[in-house]
Amino acid sequence: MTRLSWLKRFSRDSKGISTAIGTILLVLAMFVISSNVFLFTISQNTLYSQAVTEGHQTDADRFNEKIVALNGNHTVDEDEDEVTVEAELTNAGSVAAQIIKLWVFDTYPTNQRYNYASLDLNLNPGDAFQSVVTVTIPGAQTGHNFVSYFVTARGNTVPVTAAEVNGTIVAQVALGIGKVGMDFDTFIYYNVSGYNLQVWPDGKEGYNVPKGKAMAFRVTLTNFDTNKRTISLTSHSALWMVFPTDNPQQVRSRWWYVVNVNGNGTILSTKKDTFSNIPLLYAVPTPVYFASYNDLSVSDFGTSSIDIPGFTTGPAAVNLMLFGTIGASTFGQNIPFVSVYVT
Amino acid sequence: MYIGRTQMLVRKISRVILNKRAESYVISAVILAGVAIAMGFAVLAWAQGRSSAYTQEYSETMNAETAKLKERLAVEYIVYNASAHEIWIYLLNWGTIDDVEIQTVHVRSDSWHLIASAFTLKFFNGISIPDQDLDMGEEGYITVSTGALQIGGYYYVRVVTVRGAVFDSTFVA
Repeated sequence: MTRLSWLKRFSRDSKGISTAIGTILLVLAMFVISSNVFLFTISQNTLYSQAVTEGHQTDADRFNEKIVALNGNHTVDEDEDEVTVEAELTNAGSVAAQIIKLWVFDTYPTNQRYNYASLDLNLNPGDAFQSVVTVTIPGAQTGHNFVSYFVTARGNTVPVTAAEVNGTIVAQVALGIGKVGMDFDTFIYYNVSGYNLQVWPDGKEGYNVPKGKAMAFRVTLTNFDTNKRTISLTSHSALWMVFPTDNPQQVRSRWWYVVNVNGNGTILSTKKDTFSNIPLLYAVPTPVYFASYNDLSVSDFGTSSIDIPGFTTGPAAVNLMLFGTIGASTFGQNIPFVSVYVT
Repeated sequence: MYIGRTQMLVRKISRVILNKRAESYVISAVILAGVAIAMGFAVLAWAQGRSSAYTQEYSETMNAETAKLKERLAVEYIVYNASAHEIWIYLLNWGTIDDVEIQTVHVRSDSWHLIASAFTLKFFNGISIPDQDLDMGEEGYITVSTGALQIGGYYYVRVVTVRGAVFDSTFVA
């Protein structure tokens, strides 16, 4: 009842109503305008916050990207001015990555040049890839040092790390044994029949060798040159045995010059000047065969055996006489590396 | 006759002005209401205009800041050419926005500072980039004449984009 009378009075009484309506309209208008501004500001702030979040995510992805390039090796084709970079790429991070470039730098003082190669390698987390990339660097030589790194699509750089070297061998090299390491476990000998090595490919354990039989030796050599230059062995390289004899004043010895052997165990360098130099790439174990009585730059292949006057059985010292080139320089090294027992 | 009419008109106007009776309330109310409404609309229009200008400015600022946030440049390599007395800066746009344009490049050491803004952005193959900016994933380099630098010296490089993003790197001359 009270409510009805108030409504009636309000509907019939027009005094002062325009002021109230005007105020309400004005307040409404101001409210709408300020609300629009407020909501717009909020929406813009939201967009900005979203951009900040995306930026953080982008940076986080970049930080989480972890590519490693191990066992790197640089080889040079001096005729073509080409440097080939080998490396094992592994995505050790938590995000997929794309490799887009490889930069290679020649650090040699008089040839400080660089070049790059464009790549398109995609690696999921955990993926590994053996990359072999060649770039052109004028004036690059085998003896030069090279630095290289990959660039990912997120702008990270991945330096190529040199092949890891066994610590013991590094110590031996550092102590002066030289630039070449030998795998003692794979030192074997073969009986030689004609131009064939028997029994191919396993041969016989090399620490006990027979007397009076044509033999060849297999030595697995690894180049540990700290400058990572390639060693090239010429035909002058030989395995040299020294025997204690009845007469200590007479030194007796026997030698086996290096030869080329194919995949079937057949000696290929049978004639004078048919020997091809054997490259020892940095950190790559390479089997080298010694079988010839003659230096193949002097005369044809001939078999060699232990047939020494005054020596029957017993131990013998074995040396490796290596000749050739290392990088652009001449190389020569005598390694007193092992002993054998002659039966 | 004419004078008589004029006098009558003057009297009428004087009566209207001097008349304090009821019609003056209506007129004044109309005038007041009109003025109030007009002022209200004026204030409303002004407020609307100000808010529009504000939102537009704010929008532009936020868009610019957002675009700046999306910019990412990586320096792949910097090399000093001692014979030409210039540095080559190899860049990669790894961000999430196109049209990254370089405004200035600062090169400095502890006691020396150079600001360069005249350079040409080129692809890695040496061809000039037509739009002089780096789109997403695009690579390019600029050459900055620096004069003679100290060989072996350590230098800082700052690349500033048109949007205002800053990217730092270093190199040894």
